Amino acid sequence: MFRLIISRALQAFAVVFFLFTLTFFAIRAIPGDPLSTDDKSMPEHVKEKIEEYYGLDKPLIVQYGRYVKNVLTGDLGLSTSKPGRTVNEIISQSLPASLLVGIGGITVAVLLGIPMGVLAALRKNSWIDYTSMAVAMIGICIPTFVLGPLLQLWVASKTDWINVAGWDTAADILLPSLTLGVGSAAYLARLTRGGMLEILSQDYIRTAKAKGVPMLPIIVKHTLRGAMMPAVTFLGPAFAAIISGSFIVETIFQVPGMGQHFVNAVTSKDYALLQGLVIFYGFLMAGANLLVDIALLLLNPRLRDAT
Amino acid sequence: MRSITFTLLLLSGLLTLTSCQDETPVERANREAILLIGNGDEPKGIDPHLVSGVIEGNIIRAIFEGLCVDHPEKNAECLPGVAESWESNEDFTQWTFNLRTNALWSDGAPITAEDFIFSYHRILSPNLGAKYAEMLYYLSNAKEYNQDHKGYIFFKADPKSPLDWQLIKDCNFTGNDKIDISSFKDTAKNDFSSLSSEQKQLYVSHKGLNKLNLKQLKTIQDESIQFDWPTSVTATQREVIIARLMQHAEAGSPDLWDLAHVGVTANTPHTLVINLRGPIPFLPEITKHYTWFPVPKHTVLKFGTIDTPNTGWTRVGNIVSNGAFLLNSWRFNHHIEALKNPHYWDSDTVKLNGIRYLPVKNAYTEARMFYDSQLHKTYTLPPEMIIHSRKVRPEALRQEPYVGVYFLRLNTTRKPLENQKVRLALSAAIDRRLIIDNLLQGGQTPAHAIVPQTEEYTTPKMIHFDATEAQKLMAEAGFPNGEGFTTDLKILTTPKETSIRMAEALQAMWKQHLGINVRIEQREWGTFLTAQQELDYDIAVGGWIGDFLDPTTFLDIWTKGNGNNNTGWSSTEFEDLLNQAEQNADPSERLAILKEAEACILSERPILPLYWYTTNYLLHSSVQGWNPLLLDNHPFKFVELKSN
Repeated sequence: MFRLIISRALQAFAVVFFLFTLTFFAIRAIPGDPLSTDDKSMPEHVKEKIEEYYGLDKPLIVQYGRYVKNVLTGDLGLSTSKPGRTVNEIISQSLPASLLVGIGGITVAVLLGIPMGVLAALRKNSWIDYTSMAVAMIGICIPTFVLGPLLQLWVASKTDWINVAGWDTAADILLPSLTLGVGSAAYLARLTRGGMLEILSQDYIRTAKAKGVPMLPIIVKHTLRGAMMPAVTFLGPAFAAIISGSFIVETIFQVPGMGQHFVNAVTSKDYALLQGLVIFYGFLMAGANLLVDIALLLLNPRLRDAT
Repeated sequence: MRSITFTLLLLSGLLTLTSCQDETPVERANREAILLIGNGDEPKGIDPHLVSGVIEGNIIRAIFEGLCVDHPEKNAECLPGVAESWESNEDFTQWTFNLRTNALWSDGAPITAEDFIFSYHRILSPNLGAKYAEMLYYLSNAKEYNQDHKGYIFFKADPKSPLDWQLIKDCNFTGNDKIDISSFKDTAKNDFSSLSSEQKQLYVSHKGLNKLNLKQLKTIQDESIQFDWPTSVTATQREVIIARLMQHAEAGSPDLWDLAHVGVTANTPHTLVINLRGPIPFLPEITKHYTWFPVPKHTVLKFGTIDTPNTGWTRVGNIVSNGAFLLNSWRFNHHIEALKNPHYWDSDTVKLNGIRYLPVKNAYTEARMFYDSQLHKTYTLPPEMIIHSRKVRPEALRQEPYVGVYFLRLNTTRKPLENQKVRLALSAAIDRRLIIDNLLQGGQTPAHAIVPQTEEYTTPKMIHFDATEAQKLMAEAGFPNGEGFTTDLKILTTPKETSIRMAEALQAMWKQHLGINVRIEQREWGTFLTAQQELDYDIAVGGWIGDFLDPTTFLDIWTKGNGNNNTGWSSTEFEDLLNQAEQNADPSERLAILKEAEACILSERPILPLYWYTTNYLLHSSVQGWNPLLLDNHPFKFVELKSN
């Protein structure tokens, strides 16, 4: 198991390195440059001075080498779209909000999705089953940029204690988390239901029932662990969906997180900020997938032998 | 199962209890006297010398103050700011501002004329990279200092100049961009000596004497290459010029501020004397723009030199300012907060305790936030919400004239747009009224000229919708019914929804009335700008907001080489009229000449004005002292919140 973790960590590093190299050259291939994003144009000599300041006048390979060196020492560079600020600063300031919304999203997904899937499996082919799976289908189909404004109109505008947008009261986390988590909750519900049904049809469950074990211990002790596997496998991609969904949700609900920085960095061609965010998200994703793999190993002893 | 349900119920119950608000954010803000306003987007910075936008201006105006201050009700009227009083000489070429002695910076240091001189020096420094330095070009010699025109500074501005400027002013100091050096530009920058003699000659002529380094000047001095001197300039004069330039380069190219004698001096610590390059009767009006605001010399120099950009002196905790409010916190995409400044000389007048700017980018979210009582004022209002607000919250809807013009830029270097008749035809085929009523629905005014009408200035009425005339013009141009247009014209738009719909309307109108096909190309903002700057477009949408209430703010940009022109059009007749107007001290004569200039550019029509802006926004009834102003530069010191 230890070897697995090490090898996966190295793989993660390799993937992130490749990712950021690709981003580095791709963003510079877009026409236009980071310094002329105002409608007032800049005289030539001024532009040259600023390019020099940010190191943009050096040949690409030199810029790349410098950047890699800085990243290895933890310096992610200066932002061009937010003059005078470092990328480290911008990321650390916006991380808490994104983290909270992301955790909120995953919590919603898990707390909504898994119980719904379990219930549907236990009451298979009843109205509970059909309704919950239909709701799940709707949840998968509605995009966040439709669900968000709908929640704003139907929930926030009609209640006093939930704001339409912003990040000032504790309640402000509710709607963004809900918007983010619902899609993943729906997937989790269907996957959990499927996993449950598969396990429930196994012989050893029938044996337990025949032996007279009550329903609740059967579910909790014997079924859940196996049923969770498809769901846990999905948590990795769910995490990805939540992160990328967060960009839209943060714009709709004015959450001061990293998602908005990502979008702004692309439109204003802030190379350093974009690269810093790519590295950060890359490691986040790799880390999340690693955790999922470890969780699967813990859940399923059969996998441990295979490694 | 039951335990899960119970936990969920308990949690939601707790949540309800903890976050129960008995007052809305607006009610609470009224109680605390904090103004909550939508500000459109994250500002790029709040250093008055390094920004150029409206969003930044809204914040800068609250925390800094200039010589004069906007009147809360009357357009074009100047109230005393840091300056108590001011007067000018007979022909408006010199202004004296008397600074009040009780004006202090927020750290208690007194504000003196020296701060203003430092500030103008800073924004004009060639190395700072101020994008809006041209706002100060009214000062004598300011333009030459900012553009590092060494020849002018050494031989005209400097009273100790050994040469007569009139004799040598035709020398190639500023360069010649008609000379093409693109094939060897990079080698020239990195290794000049490796170029051939011919290439070196082309390079130095392209750059001009002002921009040459020591090595390049030497090659001219030892005559290893021939420089394109005018024949009237004697050999001795040439030697003196080169020697002086080399002396400057050898000394490490020191700052030329003192030699340039830019038109600002201090007679006493509280008397600022400004010398202008021509008569400017409306100078106090211009000092209301944030590029003319003072920055604290002692603070700026603590964090870097006068011309180091982005030093961090404006960060919370470092910043020192002189306005009615102080920067208190800046949380990205959350809010920027400014609180009342106790050191402000007029703090008794200020009724607000603070302002919170919310950078809400999504205009629909912003409108919903207003309806949910989270904001006192929105930054903007999309067309559908204008109609909706008229029905649901008519008392909150404000539609006010805003001094700006929306227009189409035409690339006059391309066929067939180089043909004046084609441009006029395109202009006459646009039904502006239709676009405003059906598309924009914001109460905008169809433009019949470029400069919006103000009290003093009557714009010439030269634009109107006339399909028959459009067809006639097109036929005269050689394209009857649109035949003969070999390629489709392309309209360049931004990603903004309204911009694309506008293009679609124009596409339909031109097809209907002129029989020509037009395609729409959407580009993201940065690429959009680059395409225009490189003249790589046919037609592009555009807009311009006036910086102060004078027609020149709309006309000056159409001069040759101006960074905001981008049409390939210029006209000596037009520029002569502008210069004439500038030299004329009589206000009404001056405006008459400007009207001629505007008629001149309109008859050529390198741009097609469409409409004059109306600003649409929602304003909460508790906000007092927020009156319609053409420049939309509301002075926050006069705003008050009254809960009803």
